Amino acid sequence: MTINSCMSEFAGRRVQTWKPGQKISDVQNIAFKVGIEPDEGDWSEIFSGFLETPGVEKVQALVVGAWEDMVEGGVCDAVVEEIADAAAKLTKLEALFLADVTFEECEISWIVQTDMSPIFTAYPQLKVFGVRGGSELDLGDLEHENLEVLIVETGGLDESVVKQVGKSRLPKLRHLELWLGDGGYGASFELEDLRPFISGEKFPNLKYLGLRNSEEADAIAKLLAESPVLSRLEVLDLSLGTIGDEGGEALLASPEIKKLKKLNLRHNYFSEAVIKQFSALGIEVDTSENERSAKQDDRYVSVSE
Amino acid sequence: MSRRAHFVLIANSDSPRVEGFQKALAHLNLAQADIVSYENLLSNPSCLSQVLRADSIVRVESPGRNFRVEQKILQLGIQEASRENYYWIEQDKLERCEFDKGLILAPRQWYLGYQAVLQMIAGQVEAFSSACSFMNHPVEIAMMFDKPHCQSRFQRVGVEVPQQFGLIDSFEHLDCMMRVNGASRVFLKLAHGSSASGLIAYRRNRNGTKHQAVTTIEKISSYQDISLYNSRKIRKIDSLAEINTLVDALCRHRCFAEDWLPKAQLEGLSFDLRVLTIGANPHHVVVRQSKTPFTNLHLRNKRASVELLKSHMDAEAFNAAMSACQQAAACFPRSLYAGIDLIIRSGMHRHAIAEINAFGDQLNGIEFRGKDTYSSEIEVLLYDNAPARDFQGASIG
Repeated sequence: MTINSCMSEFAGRRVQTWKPGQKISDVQNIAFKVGIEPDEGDWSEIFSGFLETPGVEKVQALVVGAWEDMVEGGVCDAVVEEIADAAAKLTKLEALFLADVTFEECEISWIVQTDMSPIFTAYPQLKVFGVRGGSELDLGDLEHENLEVLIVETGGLDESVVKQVGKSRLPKLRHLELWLGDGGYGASFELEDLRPFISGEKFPNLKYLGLRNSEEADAIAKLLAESPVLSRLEVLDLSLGTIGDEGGEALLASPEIKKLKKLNLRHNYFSEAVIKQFSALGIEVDTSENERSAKQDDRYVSVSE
Repeated sequence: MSRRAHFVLIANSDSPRVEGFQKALAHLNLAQADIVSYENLLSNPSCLSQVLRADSIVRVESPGRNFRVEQKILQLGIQEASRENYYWIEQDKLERCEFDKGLILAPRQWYLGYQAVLQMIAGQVEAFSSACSFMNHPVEIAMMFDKPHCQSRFQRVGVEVPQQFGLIDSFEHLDCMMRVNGASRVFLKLAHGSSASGLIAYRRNRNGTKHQAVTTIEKISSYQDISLYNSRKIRKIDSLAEINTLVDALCRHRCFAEDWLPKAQLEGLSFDLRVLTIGANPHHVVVRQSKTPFTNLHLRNKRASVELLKSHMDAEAFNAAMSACQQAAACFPRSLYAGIDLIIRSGMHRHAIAEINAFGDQLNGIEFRGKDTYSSEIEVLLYDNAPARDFQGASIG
């Protein structure tokens, strides 16, 4: 999966890049993004400036952009440490996302992450946590009373992270979004590791389940089609995957599928016939960017300019 | 006087560029231009002097999108290309060549051939009458087709360009240049390419354990050879061995490398600018948005308005970017117009010139002060008595 654009919205708020010297206001509607421009500046310095800005104690949502040398190991540790240390100031922080960068800045599978547990410890009031990049990612012994939304975006999810989520204690979780990725970029989990989420036994309050960006999407779709979790979910998100007609037909055959509010199947591999059946389901189904639709001629004559 | 202005257009006659220019002339109540097609010119060079008048204004258009013309240009490049070490196609093979959409044939040979065509045009026109003039002088058109040459020229006059790593002859060489310069991200470009043809964006991490090439090239390997095609489908390659092969294949066509600068974003998409300068002044500006590092890839890219850009960009930074275009265009005093690809760097404070295009004025639907590109050029040429600088490209009619 290629991240082509920065987030425009996070946790229901508009993402706005904070620049040194800027004021902090409208914290209800703005997620403040703190990051460096490529090859310019120092993340720690910008973040210190942010923390010294009047009104910072009111900030509810923070998006971390790029830090220097994201592709090198060990750098992210300091970023996590500084965010954890800022907890005394960011007392209203509810939503945090780490590494909103496009592939032009840094490829998702190249971002080197680290142990996130200092953040969960420092922010017991956190409701939304998202992280992009699966390399060296560690969620620790994940226990959090208030976390409602957990997003892990990767090009390839390591089995250790899947297992950490499987063992976690997140009593309020209602939105679980895992970008599973492919083996070539570090996906090392077994389908069995996903069973607690697919069966629905792990998070009984879940309303949104996203098992996205997966090369195992057909098998996952088939398991989900037979799972009682469908009857409890509002949104099932299997977008950015490789589901073909086999997985599609399994989903269609499930009597529970119509109870969803939304089924997101954007960017998969269905035939036109199966797409038609999804459209006839009577619920909101997104089958845009289907990869098997109308093959086009991609070659072009270069214009001499 | 200007009402009598006589234009001669050297072009592929079925090109929409011709239609656009004729329309602009008609709109300005000027006589239609006489057309000399490349096909005729290349089989019978003297046909040019048959349409010239004593004070004709000659407009040389792009010879692109016509395979027979491309073949003839390549033919004219054989002799010189055979003396160099870049890939070239010999006579027999060239004659047997059939149109294969998107195939990168032999850009260096094409350049050498086109240079000869341009020299021939200049020679004929100048011999015919010293009162004849060019909108863009052939000598400068040839220069603009030499991309690394332009970049170093801009650098010399203090216009910002991405850091230059010079001509590259192989992956090994590229690797060495990156080490020497401490670079981890580079753009490899054809020396004589345009429209995102033959581009590779390559990056790696510091200890060399990760590599990635993002490219507009589709590589087809056969038993004997490797063919490269221009493709709108952007490909990503992670294998070092494959990157190595691709870079080596591209380097046979003469390549140069420069720093891969991250571009600024507008509405979540990367963008760059195409700025048309006329009389070295920035006129039409197109904001080209893209999901890929190749914002100059024509078609399928979104356009945003300049107003939107200005509302996000510091006025000082925007003006500095426009002055850079002015300065770059001024490096070509005998050219009335040029299409400049301008990178606005991430953060929107700085800019850099990516390339300059002699035929970069085909910007459909883009207006500046209510005029399309061709009308603006003609008006500046004929009626602007106080050009910004010592523009000597054409005598005023």
